[in-house]
Amino acid sequence: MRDSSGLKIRFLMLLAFSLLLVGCVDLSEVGKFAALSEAANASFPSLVADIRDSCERRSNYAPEDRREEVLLRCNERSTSNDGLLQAQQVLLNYMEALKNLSSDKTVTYGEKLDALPDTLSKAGLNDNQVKATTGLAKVLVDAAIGGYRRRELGKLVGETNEEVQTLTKALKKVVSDGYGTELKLERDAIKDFYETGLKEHEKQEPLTALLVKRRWTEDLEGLQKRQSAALAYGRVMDSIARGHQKLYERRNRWSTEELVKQLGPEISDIYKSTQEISKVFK
Amino acid sequence: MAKLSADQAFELADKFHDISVSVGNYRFDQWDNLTPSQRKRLEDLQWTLMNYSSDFVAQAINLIVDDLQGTLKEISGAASKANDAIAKIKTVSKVIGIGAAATVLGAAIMSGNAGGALTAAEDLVQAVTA
Repeated sequence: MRDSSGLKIRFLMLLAFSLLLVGCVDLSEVGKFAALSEAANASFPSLVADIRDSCERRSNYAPEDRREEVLLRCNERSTSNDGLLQAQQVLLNYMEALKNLSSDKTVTYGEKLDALPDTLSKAGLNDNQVKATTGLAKVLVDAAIGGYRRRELGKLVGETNEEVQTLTKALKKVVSDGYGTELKLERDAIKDFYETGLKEHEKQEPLTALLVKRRWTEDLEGLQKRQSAALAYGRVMDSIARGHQKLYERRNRWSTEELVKQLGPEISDIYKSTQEISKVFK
Repeated sequence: MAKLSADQAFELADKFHDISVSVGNYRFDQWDNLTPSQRKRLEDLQWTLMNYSSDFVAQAINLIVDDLQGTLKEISGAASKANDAIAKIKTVSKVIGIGAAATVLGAAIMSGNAGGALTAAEDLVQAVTA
């Protein structure tokens, strides 16, 4: 009888292990890929909002009689900026949902399974059998939920890949081309402002001219940081697009090793570039 | 007149920017040969060109955002589906009773088939979360 019980327990353990091998793919790499972190959630909207802010800063460098006109044009940007911020938020929300769906932290089924030993004891199983059965039940539920999660992720990635490619490409274009041009205009306005002042007064006030040049350099440094952040933003969008494409292409045959191998470079790129952006737009 | 595309608007923004840079450079290069009034007129021209460039940027962004509406709807819908799935997973324990877990367990033991047991378990989750 004891031998038979031991055999059953070993069998249950073996079955549990087999189920783990068959059913569970560690989706944590998907989670890491999708995790744009709090830094991204805080800094990306600030970067997009800076498209309009750059216009406003430019107005400060305009000749006095043109300042109001520039500022009026900047104010007209509010609507397009709102639309852009919303578009970006949709991407951030999607990535957050992808992260949460791939995380096993979403599962809280403790209470029911904790009650299982009592039920099994009442059904006449001994302590070892109860322990093995409870362990296996947990493995089964984990495997089932893992399978469900993997299927849902696969469906989502399959349904949205085209849209994610479109959106990341569009956001990159807006920031690289649109924000990039605004920053170039800001740089030109800075140059116009300081160089005009220097041309007009440098000979008469050389000491003031030195201070003006220092201030000019400081303004340019701030601008260059924003230009670097804009480039980093483009890299993040590229990495999201590439990573999502990889998930899409292999959505029906994910394995843990492959996810680690395939998504590793994108996770690293996203992390580094996001850090770069958040240094400028906290 | 045909409507501009976003790419065309960005291209125009670039062109107007480049011309404004040329005008600015000319003003500074020829500073000593220009009268104050000529300098002012060139500076005004430079700022007008910069404003046009910025306007084309805004137009391009508007066009892109408008074009994205369908895409955004799709992705928002997908995010909602993901959140629904998460909600289902969170509450799945309430649905998977001890009896169900034991039934699947029994099936696994009886069949000795790990893959089959897994499918049964997955089907169960699918059924309760559908």
